[in-house]
Amino acid sequence: MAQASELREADYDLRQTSDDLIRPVETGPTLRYLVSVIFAGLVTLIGVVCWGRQLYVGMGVTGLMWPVMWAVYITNFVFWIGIAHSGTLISAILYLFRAKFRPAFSRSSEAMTIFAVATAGLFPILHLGRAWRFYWVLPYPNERRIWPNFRSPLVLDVFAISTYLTVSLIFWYLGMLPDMAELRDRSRGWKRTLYGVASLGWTGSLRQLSPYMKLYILLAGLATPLVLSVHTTVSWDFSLSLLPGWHEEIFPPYFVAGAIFSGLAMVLTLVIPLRSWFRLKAYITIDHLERLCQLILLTSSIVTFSYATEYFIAWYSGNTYEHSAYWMRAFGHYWKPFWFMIACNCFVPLLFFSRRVRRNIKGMFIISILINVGMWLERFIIIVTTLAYSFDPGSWGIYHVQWIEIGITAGSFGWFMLQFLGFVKIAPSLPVAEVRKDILEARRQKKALIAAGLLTAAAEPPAAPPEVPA
Amino acid sequence: MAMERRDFMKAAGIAAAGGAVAGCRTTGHILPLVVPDQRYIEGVPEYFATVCRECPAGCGMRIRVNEGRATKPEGNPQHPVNRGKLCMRGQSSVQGLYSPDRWQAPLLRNRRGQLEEVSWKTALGRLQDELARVEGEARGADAVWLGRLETGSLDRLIRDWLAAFGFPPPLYYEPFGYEALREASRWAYGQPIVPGYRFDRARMILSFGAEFLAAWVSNVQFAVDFALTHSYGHTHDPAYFIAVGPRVDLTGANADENWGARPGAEALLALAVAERVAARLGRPLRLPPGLPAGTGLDAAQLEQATAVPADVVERAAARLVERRPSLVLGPGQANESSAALTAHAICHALNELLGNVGVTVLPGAPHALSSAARHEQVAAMFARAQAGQVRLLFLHHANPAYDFPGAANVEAALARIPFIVSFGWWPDETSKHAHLVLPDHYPLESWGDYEPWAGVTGLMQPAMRPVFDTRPAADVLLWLAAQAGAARQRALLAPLAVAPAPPLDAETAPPGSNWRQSPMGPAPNPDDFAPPAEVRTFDAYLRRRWQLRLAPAGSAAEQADAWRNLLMRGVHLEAPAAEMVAGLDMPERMGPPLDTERRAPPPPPMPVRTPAALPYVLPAPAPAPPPSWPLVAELEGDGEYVLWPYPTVQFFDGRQANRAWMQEIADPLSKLVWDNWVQVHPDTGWKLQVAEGDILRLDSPYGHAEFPVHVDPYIRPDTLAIPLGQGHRDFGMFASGRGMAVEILASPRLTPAGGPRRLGVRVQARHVGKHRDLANLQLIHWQRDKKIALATTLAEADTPAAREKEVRATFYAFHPHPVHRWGMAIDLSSCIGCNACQTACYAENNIPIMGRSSCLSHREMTWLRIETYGGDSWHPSTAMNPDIRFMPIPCQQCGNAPCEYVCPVFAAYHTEEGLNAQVYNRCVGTRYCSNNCIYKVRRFNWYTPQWPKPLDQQLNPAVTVRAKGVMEKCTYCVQRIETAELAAKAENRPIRDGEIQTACMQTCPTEAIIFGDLRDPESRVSKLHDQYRGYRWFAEENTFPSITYLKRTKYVLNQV
Repeated sequence: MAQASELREADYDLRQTSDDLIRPVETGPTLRYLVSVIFAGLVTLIGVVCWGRQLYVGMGVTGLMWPVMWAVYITNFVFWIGIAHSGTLISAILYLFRAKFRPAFSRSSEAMTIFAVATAGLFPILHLGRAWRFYWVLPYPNERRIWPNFRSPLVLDVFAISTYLTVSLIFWYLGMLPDMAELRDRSRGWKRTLYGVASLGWTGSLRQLSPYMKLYILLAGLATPLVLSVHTTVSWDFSLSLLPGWHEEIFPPYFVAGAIFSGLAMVLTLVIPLRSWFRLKAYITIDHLERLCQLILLTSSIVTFSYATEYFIAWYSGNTYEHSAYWMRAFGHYWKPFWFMIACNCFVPLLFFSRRVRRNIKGMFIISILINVGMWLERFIIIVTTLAYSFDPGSWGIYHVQWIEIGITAGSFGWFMLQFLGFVKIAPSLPVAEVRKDILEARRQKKALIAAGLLTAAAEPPAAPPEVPA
Repeated sequence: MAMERRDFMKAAGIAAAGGAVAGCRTTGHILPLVVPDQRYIEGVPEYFATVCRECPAGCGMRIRVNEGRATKPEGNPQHPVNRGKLCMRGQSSVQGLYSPDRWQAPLLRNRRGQLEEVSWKTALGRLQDELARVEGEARGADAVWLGRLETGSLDRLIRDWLAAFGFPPPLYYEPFGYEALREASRWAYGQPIVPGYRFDRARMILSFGAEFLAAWVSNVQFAVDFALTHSYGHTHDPAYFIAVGPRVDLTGANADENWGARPGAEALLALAVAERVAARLGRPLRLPPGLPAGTGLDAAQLEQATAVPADVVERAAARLVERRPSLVLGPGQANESSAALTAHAICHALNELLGNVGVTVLPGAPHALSSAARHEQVAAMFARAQAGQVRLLFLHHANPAYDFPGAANVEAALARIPFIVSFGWWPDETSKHAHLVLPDHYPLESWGDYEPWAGVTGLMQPAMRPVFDTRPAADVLLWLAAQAGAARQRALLAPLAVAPAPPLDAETAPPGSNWRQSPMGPAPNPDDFAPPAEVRTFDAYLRRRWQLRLAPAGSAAEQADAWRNLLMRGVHLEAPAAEMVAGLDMPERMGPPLDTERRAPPPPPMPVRTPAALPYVLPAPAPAPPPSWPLVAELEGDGEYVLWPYPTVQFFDGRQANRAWMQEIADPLSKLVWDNWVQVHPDTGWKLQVAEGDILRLDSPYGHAEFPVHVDPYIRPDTLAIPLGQGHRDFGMFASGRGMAVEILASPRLTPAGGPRRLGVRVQARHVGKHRDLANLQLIHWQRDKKIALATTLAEADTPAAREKEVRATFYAFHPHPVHRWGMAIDLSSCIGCNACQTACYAENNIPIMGRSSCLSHREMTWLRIETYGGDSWHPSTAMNPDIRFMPIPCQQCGNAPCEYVCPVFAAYHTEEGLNAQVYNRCVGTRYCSNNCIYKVRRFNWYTPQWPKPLDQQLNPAVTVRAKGVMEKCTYCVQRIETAELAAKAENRPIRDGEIQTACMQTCPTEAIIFGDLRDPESRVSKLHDQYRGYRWFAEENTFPSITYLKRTKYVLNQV
């Protein structure tokens, strides 16, 4: 079946494809787009105002307290970093594995990576008591001759994330080079100049293409271990501590799986409206989405297994502090978000065992949202319940979210949306060159099949582009 | 006015040295000290000995003064009452001094009926006019002095002044007046006194409700003595302590056995114990006439009447006979009831029977409280006022409108008094009725003396110039007398012409001492001498009086020397105190060597001395008929629950309620802050359908009030307990609006002894559907199988069985600590949970106050918290041993600290001396250190800390005030460590063990906290580290903490 759909690509008109994919960039903003931008901008503004108040008054405006000194901000940080991970995974790993459905998602998921990291990176700064001193974490020569503490997981974080951002940015930009060149060729005036600079003189000649492909695969190979290492480092923020509920060896693989899981769900959440709003259904097909759903099913089961392992070890260790931490996690004050998280992350994705659900856009979208919520809650539960119920029961305390934190969280979503909306107007959301390459490839395959007599030309109706622009 | 340089330097030097300040007026300017006084070194604090006047206990204090500001009270180690220790109220005295609510100038009620600031000249002129008017009306007999308890020179001055103007003697009103105890003493010892107590000699303590560790008579002294006799850290034969009461209070929490007796049945229970003891000893019990020699109840009836099984009573009697000398105490403040007099009388009889009188009970050394007025006298005065018979009222730090039973009538009576003069410090419920306010110096700004026990006198000197435009009440009295003519002035100064004191009493005074008999005999004829011209102010009066007393025949230089030495020592001892102080360890000291018993062997029983010549003027005897002797307290009303208003260590009778520290430092047992509440047993809560924070309306026969519920198992289900001292209506920014006062429900009727009936009403309770969140700083009070506050049995305490298994292994090398490693040992068997250490820490380390709303979300900033752990449930009929454990938790200063490695910027780092230092200026506020701290001892600055002016003057300049957004924590008072290290270096010697005293250790009444160098194997703390019952908290996490907790010792271990 999948093969058939890939073969159908062979019938797409190459020029038409270019037009379809580049149209969102070239056309002016629609009303819906403008409304979205204004909405995202306002939500971002709320976040900025909330942060301003937090800076002015102090961290007391949040719900943070003794002993829960990290909560929503760090949750958001891990959540956004998790989101960022799928981008590279889809782009680089699928590239290395030559997965056929990769081009459908690669560009938007790479963009998602960049924007998610750019959003995530705000939170470690924003949650500081003295955010204006954030640069003290960086190793820079200074008159005090103090370096950061390289034993601190937070410093490791800084390096891991900045490395990841750099590599992702290069990888993303490199993938966009041919498209930039195409945009340059199609545009005029100042846009042509800009795209001209951005395309770095790309002509698409073989002389350029051969090293380009080598570099691309090299970067894909470089980015892949980063997917594992970055989230491993983020998980060290917790697992290098002493707290029952954080201090766990399983955290690195568990976090990576969780990150991929949440990232895939986020790709679904983004791509489903994208393909409908910008008329890309022909290029991001239901088959592509189904593949994504299958991956989600796989990662969900890894995550579920990790939860089970955590609880098993907590019981098996015979450690009373672990016992109480995990007991209170499931049955303490935060039992509602905990069980909702379990439902979202472990049970809801099981629906993807049904093919009908896997091919139902609406169902898929709702499930992806639930997984996003569930994965956000997972980080919240890990952070907050662990801190609320640590070693000494006399120091237990219950954290309640405050409006400022909700505002800043909303602001981060607005900020992410704003970046994404800007991106779709600057670069094509799908890699045009790669899609066209795949179409050519499919045509060659089809020709070969016809030549071999395995397929008759008449058997397939001549496929018109599914969505003809009005 | 142009100020010459020399004048200025003189003024500045005097101000900085804190000497001779009485009479100085604050100018409101701060002048730079360009060339300082020779004695004065900037940055080096000075210490002044004075007396803590926060309650009638009169502990000796040393006030630290930094650059002319009093910043930290500490106990005076040479004072026999507190021996260097202070309670949390004493620690908070500086917050009284700098209270933002203090009156800053005299006030006069204007035509519109409002108090208006006036000049001292106007105010004093108004008072002179009023005095002249009263004299003109010939109503001198209708003038009343209502003040707090005073002794010594001020007492003498007040009495002489009142007499000179033809006014009746003063009424010293103390809400905790011990009327029942005093009346019982009148029967037992012939004088209505509060006798002296020596807990340290008792091998068994049986208390029928006396809250001697919280608010009873002299709680610091008793806590020190109690630790000496009851803590395993001080003696290997700890006294057995039985506490009786329907609720486990702070005192009961330290008992070995709690009898959840029916409230009001104390006398009956005491008699049951007494008759059993008498039977065992085969000696008759001497009881007041009219009391039966026994209860006449059989075992079942006794249990029915008191809720205490007869075999438990029998066992206690056997123990009392076996463990002599002992100490039997009667009811305390909470159960001052109609039967309290009987209970006290039986306790006196029991003490006599057991041979405790003269050993642990010292009628020869009575307490100053003996001279307080009885409630009955105060009530009579208010009745006269109500009838319009009081013309003039002098208020001197008394607040009956808040705490007098039936306070509503008091307000009505006050409103009928034509002229009220208040020598107050701040507005309160009573002084808001005043017509003229003459703000007094705070005790820390005043001269004075105070004699808490007969023969023990503490000297007060000002620690600093007055904060506001205030004048000592005594100066005003002297001035008024001088204005009123030479005859009156002479009468006032008569005591300054006292004849030489009689020779030493060779029998009682220790050889070589300069003790002498009290010279306070009758004064000679005032006409025989001319008043010294220089005595215009109270400081001159005091100095003259003491110089005469110390060196009556000496030259002026000798007298001045004697006076200076006395001021430096801060305490003067005379013969009546001999029994009280015999064997006490008073010089500057660090604690005992480890291998000796601290408790002195009980002395042979002494002949019972009844007080002959008291230094106190006892109140007029009660004109009442011989008191009746009820055995069971009368409880008015038909409600289902007995109301149990109890005093707390933080609020005492309510006078300390307007202190931010008192409000924010958690109540020792409930851990609630900033509120008033009613404690309800879980069964009762279930029955009334109320949960924590639900509002319960209580109806007594005399009123109704609403309180939020605190559900806590350590109370009888038929009792509702409410702390005293909260619920002020007009008492300043911190105290007002903290719920309702329990006095609203109290009975205005008095006991046969003339005291208040604090235990005297039954109430009905119902949930009114409202709710108020209570700020609770410790939500969980059980530890289950977690190893936190550990205990062991007495039998095992010094055996390897008490040792906790500890594994210490690490991949990396530990920090080397080349010279010192500072550490602590905290003895859980000594800690009584009194919160003094925590308050001292607040005072020393500039810990900000966060307020109620922040405490609701656990944002208190305390560096040292005390966690209270108890069993899961407690029911009076089932469990006799509640096993409450107090765990003081400062930073553990780990050798392998979880906080250090996670800090990205090295704000948390390890010093060479083993401290987990925190560089506030380096901190960026990731808060990871707090998350990773398994002891949760780090605090984060959620806001910019604020101190309402002038509270900011209390800040310790040696400690940084932290900014918003940084983490802060205990560093073992690193500023004190540095000071000691510098001093040692300057003298080229090693630091002595015990030279460094952290603030918490310095004030701990029971010496539960010991600080020292772990690298020095001979230090006290090192030796304690090696004890079998020592354990490192959470050692299995490999944090290598530098604090060793010593397990609490129990006679019996029960399930936690």
